[in-house]
Amino acid sequence: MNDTRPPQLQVRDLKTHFFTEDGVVRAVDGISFVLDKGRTLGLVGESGCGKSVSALSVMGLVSPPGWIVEGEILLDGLDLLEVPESGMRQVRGNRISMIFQEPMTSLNPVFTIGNQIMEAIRVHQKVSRNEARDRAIEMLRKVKIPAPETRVDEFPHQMSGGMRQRVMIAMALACGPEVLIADEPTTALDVTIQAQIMELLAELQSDLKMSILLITHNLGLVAEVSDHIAVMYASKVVEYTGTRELFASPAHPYTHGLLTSVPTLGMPRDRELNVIPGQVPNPLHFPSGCKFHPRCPLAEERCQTEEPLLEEVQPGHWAACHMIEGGSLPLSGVNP
Amino acid sequence: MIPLHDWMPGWGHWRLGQRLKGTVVAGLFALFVLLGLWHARTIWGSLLHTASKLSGAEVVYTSRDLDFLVTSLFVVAMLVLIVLFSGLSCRRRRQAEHLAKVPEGQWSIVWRQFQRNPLAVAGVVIILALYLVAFLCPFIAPYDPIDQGDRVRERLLPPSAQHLLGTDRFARDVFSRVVYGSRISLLVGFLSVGIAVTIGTIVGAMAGFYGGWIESLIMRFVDMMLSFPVLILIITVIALWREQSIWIIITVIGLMSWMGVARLVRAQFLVLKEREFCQAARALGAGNSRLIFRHLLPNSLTPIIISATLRVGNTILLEAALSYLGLGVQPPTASWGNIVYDTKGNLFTEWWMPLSAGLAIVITVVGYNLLGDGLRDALDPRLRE
Repeated sequence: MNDTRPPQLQVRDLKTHFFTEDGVVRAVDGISFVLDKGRTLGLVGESGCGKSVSALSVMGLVSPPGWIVEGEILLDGLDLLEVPESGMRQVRGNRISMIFQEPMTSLNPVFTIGNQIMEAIRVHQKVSRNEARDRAIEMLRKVKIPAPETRVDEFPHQMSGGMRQRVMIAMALACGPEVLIADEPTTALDVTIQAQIMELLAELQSDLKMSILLITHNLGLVAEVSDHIAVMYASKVVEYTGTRELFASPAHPYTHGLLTSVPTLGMPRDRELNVIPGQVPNPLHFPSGCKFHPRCPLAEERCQTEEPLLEEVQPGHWAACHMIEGGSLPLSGVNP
Repeated sequence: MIPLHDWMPGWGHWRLGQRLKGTVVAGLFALFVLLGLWHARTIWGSLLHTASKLSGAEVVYTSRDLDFLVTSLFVVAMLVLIVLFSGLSCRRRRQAEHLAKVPEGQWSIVWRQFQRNPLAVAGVVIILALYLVAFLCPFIAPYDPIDQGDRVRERLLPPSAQHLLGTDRFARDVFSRVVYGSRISLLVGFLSVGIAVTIGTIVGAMAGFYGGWIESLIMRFVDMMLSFPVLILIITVIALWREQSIWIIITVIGLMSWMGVARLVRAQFLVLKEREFCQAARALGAGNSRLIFRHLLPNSLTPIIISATLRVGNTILLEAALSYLGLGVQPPTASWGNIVYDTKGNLFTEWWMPLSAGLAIVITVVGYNLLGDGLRDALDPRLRE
């Protein structure tokens, strides 16, 4: 687990802002993370914390009034923010692919799934229709769709949600990308299908040697599949470390709160579930200083004025909090 | 190899249990065989005449000769096409029977839905019959529609076996004129709507896809065009032209009626471009043109087809109105509108003349509206059980 690998995707100080009529929404405000080759990074956070905008920024798909105002996105050393749109089209689907939350609506309803996978291939590679069709069938087999030779001619409405997500994965991986961004890939699916899809992704990852950026709000999911986790809160990464490390000794009070608010099997029935008080701040009016201070049990005066920076509190363990002393929090709560 | 009986129109389908299809195919084939035999001499003569003209002989070749040639070729082509259709359709059916599950495409679902609506089927039958009449004009009309008879003795004759709808004040056979008039109406309806839909789709797609100031500019222009009374605008444009021909009328009507389609397509694009499959397509490397032509346009096709069909009726009415005003198709060419115009003086004495042309207009427009309504119901997934 601890061997180091070269980075596949590096995001440095990325800022994506939306210039709306009501003011500037800092949807992503200076985030950094590293996705190593062949590894999985979980990007975790509540709804609206900027996870999806980060993913779209990496894809270069932020549309006005949103703009990437600062930062670097390095794909194997190539800064994607320097690449013109025509070049980005060659990157999308070919080197970085993305799958979305809603498999029910992510496929074009008027074409057969085979047709759509073939399109994904033919956007990037000059192959004949027959060859593309053979490869589409091959991809369907890879994502374990039964009888791919006949199902290739089916329309999306003839398939179930899990099947459609498999088709989406087949489309995304048809050109063998180096990075797959999975934006809440299983949220719309029921639990058994969720497990199947994650298993399939893990299998394909080792098969195709790709890196996965997994965006989710499901802590159980990231715990199972990711190697590293970046926790986002209010447009920033507040903690970034290895999965084991994060679950064993969370450094940031927000992460701590998240972990203790998950109910566990065998928990005494009468024990109240820990909750984080308050609400996610409105991105138009972020609190001053540390954005978490209104909800933080440890907040001091300093937290209200001074914004903490992401610092290495332990080797390989980064967190943004003033209250960390000697790599851990002065919290008396039990770690889960 | 396709067995011989599959090539026999109707027989193959009957053997495969598709009785309705078989009967229709056989009926159509019989119709064209009878037509071919009935007019065998005319067809043969027309072909010979054309051949001698082509070989450089000094013969008179009029537009009416061309008319006969086209119709003769149409009858022959239809005979061949029906036979081909029977053979190939039976083969496809047999191949499908080998598969465990016959994959049902979108259009076959729509067709099944469509068939449940008797009014819609009536609309299709009316429209197809009218197109058949338009193609077969010279074989159906007993006289040349612009040929004036004996203007003393054959003027304003009442309906009889020789002249089914009598003759007008120029001693022309009214039935023949009404039959030929179908060509004008169907041509105007089809081509004008084609122009309107093409322009409207391009303009609406641009507005909906690019948004921003392009959209504002385009949509304000659409608003401006819509604020003119169409008929008056068209009359003005036509009046500015020196000569009037059917092609100018078609173009002008087309250029003046695309705005509705543009609005419709823009609205569709605005909704569709926010759908996840568009973002997914972008994430897989699709550019703007691919997004428009592969994803947005095919998904907007349903409302475009429906509105085009419903629009044809309107356009036919518009042409009839223009011709009635004397600004449309010019005499002696027959169009339903100018037949009504020509015969309006006889309204109280020879009422069957304006009535027949008027009824033809009504039937055509109703046919198109029934077809459009049926299509809308069949294509709307929410109305499916």
